[in-house]
Amino acid sequence: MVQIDVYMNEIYKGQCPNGKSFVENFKKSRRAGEISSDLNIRFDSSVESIYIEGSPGRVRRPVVRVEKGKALITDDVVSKITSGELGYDDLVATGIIEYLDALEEEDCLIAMYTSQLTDDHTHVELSPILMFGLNTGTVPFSDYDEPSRLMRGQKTIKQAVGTYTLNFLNRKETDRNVLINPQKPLVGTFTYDLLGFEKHPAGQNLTVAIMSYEGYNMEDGIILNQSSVERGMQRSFYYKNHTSSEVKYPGGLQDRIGLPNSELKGYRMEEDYRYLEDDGIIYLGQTVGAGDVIIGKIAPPRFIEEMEGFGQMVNLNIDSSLALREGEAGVVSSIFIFENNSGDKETNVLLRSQRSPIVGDKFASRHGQKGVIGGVIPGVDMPVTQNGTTPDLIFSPHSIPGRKTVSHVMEVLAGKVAALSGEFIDANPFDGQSEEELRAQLAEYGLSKSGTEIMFDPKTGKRMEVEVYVGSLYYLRLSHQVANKIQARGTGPVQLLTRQPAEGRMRGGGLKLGEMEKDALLSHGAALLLKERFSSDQTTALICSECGYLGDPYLFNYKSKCPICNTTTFNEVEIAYAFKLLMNELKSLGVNPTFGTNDRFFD
Amino acid sequence: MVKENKLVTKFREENKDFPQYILDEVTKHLPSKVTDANVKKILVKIAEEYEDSLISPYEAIGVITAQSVGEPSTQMTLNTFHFAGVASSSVQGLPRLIEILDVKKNLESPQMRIHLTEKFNNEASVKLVAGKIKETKLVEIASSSDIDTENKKVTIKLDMKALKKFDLEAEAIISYLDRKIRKDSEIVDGKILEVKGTATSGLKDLMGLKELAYNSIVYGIKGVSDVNLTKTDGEYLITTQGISLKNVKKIEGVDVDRLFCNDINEIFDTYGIEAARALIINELMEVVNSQGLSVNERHVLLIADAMCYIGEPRGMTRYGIVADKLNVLTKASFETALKHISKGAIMNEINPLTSITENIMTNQMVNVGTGIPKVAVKPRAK
Repeated sequence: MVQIDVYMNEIYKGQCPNGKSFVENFKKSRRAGEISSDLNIRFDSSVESIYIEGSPGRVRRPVVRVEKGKALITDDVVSKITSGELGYDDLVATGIIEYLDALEEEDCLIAMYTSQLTDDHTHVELSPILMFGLNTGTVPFSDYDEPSRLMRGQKTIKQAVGTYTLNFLNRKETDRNVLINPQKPLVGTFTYDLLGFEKHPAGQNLTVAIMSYEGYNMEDGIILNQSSVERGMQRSFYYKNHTSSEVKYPGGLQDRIGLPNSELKGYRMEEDYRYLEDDGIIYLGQTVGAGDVIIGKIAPPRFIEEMEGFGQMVNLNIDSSLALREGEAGVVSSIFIFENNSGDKETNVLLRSQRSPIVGDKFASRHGQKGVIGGVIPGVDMPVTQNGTTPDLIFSPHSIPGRKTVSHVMEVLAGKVAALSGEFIDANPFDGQSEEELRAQLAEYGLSKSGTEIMFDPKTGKRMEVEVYVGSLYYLRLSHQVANKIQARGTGPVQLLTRQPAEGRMRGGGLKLGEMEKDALLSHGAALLLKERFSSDQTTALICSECGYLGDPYLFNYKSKCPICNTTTFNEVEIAYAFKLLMNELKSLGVNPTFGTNDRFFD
Repeated sequence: MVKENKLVTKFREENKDFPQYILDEVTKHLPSKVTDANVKKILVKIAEEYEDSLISPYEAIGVITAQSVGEPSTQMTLNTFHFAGVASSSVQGLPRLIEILDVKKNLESPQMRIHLTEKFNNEASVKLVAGKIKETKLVEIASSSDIDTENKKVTIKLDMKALKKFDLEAEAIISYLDRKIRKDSEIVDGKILEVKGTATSGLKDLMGLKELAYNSIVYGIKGVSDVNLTKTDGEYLITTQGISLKNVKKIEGVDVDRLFCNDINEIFDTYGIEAARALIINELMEVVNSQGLSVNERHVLLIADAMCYIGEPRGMTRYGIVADKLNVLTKASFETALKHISKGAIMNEINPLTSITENIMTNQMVNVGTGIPKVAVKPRAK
């Protein structure tokens, strides 16, 4: 008799005479609750071994157990569940629902539906929607889509602005977005019920026309109806937390939040402090803009020596107040003062700003169809259907065929039916409402089965040549807003060392014209433009006419002299400061670059 | 040969600078019945088109070439393809592109394509030639081996059938053996090879001797690990893995004029710079086209010319064509700045502001495109 090896978490534990009965007994005890339901077992007859797995991090999924071709969730069990007698945990504990991992699945035959069950089956799926995750499961009609589109769809769903929590005013996140009037989707899946999505929805049902209009919605652009926007469509609040804490320094010194006075080092203009109260913190409800101080703070001197500069005792306390930067604005929503983890007193000012959709804001449907507003068109200029409806949003038809998002088109249809009937449409993958049903319902309301409608151009009053596909779509406002990203610069701060423009939006920096962009200009032969674009750090340098030394001459007897050869004649050249810096650095390395000059005009 | 239209001939004589091959094409495609007015129209249109496609003076063709080749290469697949079922596999895509542009030695998949002369173009001789090309190690003709630790020797029994197949004499094998063991080897009974160790050698040393003997190439060309025979349009083609043009050339029956390999250096050594340039062009176009991308051949021609004009193929590396640049700052802005600047300082090099890089660095006008024309002003006499 061959002895069967038994491994627990891939460690050899012992032997048993009969593999099959061992596994059966094991499963029986597990279902009876004698062994933890966290364990999975498999008998691999090809290597005569039994593997028991209980290690953390395995992926497991719930399935309903089947005995003799019958699922264990009988009508009796169902009625007990609906009456509340049995809960999910009870089903797991009694072994009606089992968790399988990749190991135990090898020994199982799992049916998709109960109708497919035969005597050989050991399990049946709870529902086909469980093959999707929580996010992907929220995509309606996902069985019509390519899987890669579902992945893109769930990625944008995660970025949607909504009511992500109900206590958002009392939380301490740096920034948060809250949709003002969120709606429950007209077309939803079972996953929405699981999530309790009704309590924290993240989007609005918009009337959508799929058409090109005036070229504002090309390349994934979308057009919004200005009237709808003015009525508050997709409006959201943007909250930003500004923090300043009284840091304790070694030596007993400490920051102090309070009203700074003009004697402080780094004091701003008087006007900037106008909103501060006596405690150094801003008024509640005050509207503030860039440059306004919201928390006044006085910091002790940074170095002790500074205190005794020139042998005098000087008060060199520093003003390190917190002021709003360029582009920041809002209304003071709330103020928290508390002690933070390092034991310092921390002041938090929460600023709120209302964000109405503007050109450049990002929106998406739930099918990976994301786009940016290309134009907000006045309601009177939007195309009209026969019954006088104007769409809230116009979506380009070019976004659909290449991406094969059939579910997007289906949702328009289903949304239309839902809006007309006033009933939510079930768009579960594999067992939701069928296309035929939806079309039939649409016909009942006297509309075209195809979902298209005759439309008129309000500017000319003429009927449009083709019928337009109109319906309702659940649209998500994504947290990428132009107001947080817009960047432009004429002049502004430069770097100390190279005198080139600073980098980054927060620092008021410029947009980099990199090497590849340089090549693009070059290949057009735009030499003058290139010179101008790179002239941000241009300086006039002096080159000694005798020895070609590039650098700063010294003054002697009111005359500039070359430090190398003492001549007083110099040639002026306009060069990039960064290049001059490079030459100076070479000099510091012991390399003396010299320059010959030509007259720019006569060479 | 089609008789040339009168007007075309006249045009040819009047415009000596006009590329003659274009007019040849016109003659080839001109319908036999065509009115003189139409021929005139065609010639005027062709002259216009030709004028339009000429590059303007000081157009930055190098940058345009770099962009035209660089952009499609970002879409290339990074991995190499290995065709299932076909014995020969080849590196394609970006790795191969880099291989060509850098003129690398030791390719990832070296290949030769060998056609045979007409006389040898039959199955029997193709197989014979292929056998002469593929390297055969001693392992393949040995039937068994024994390590004798007592007498400090390795005995290898030879497979006489295999020897016959390769037309080898047992005695001759010693001359093919690795140089280190050739002296200590001898053939016993005409079919057993004995390799003797020294008095102090242990089992490990003897194993080493055995390895050396086994890996000795007794037949074929060293480095050619595999050969493949195909027949297209009644002509046999030998495709090999591994390159040795020098040795293949000597084999009787090989058509030297059509001998091909994908190593630029090897082609240059055997056939010269023009062949190397042609190879660079062909291989680059093949890599680009095999990925379903399209690059105008003129860009590739420019690259090949830039790599070959010096007389030997130079890669686009800091040791290759970048090292040939004249200006210190241009070289320093590519790679190893310190090396070039210190060398420039020691050699007291003069760096005229002639290239684009330096003019960008110093923020001067680039000598390309609109940077070239200047206003000429006559200075007033003092």
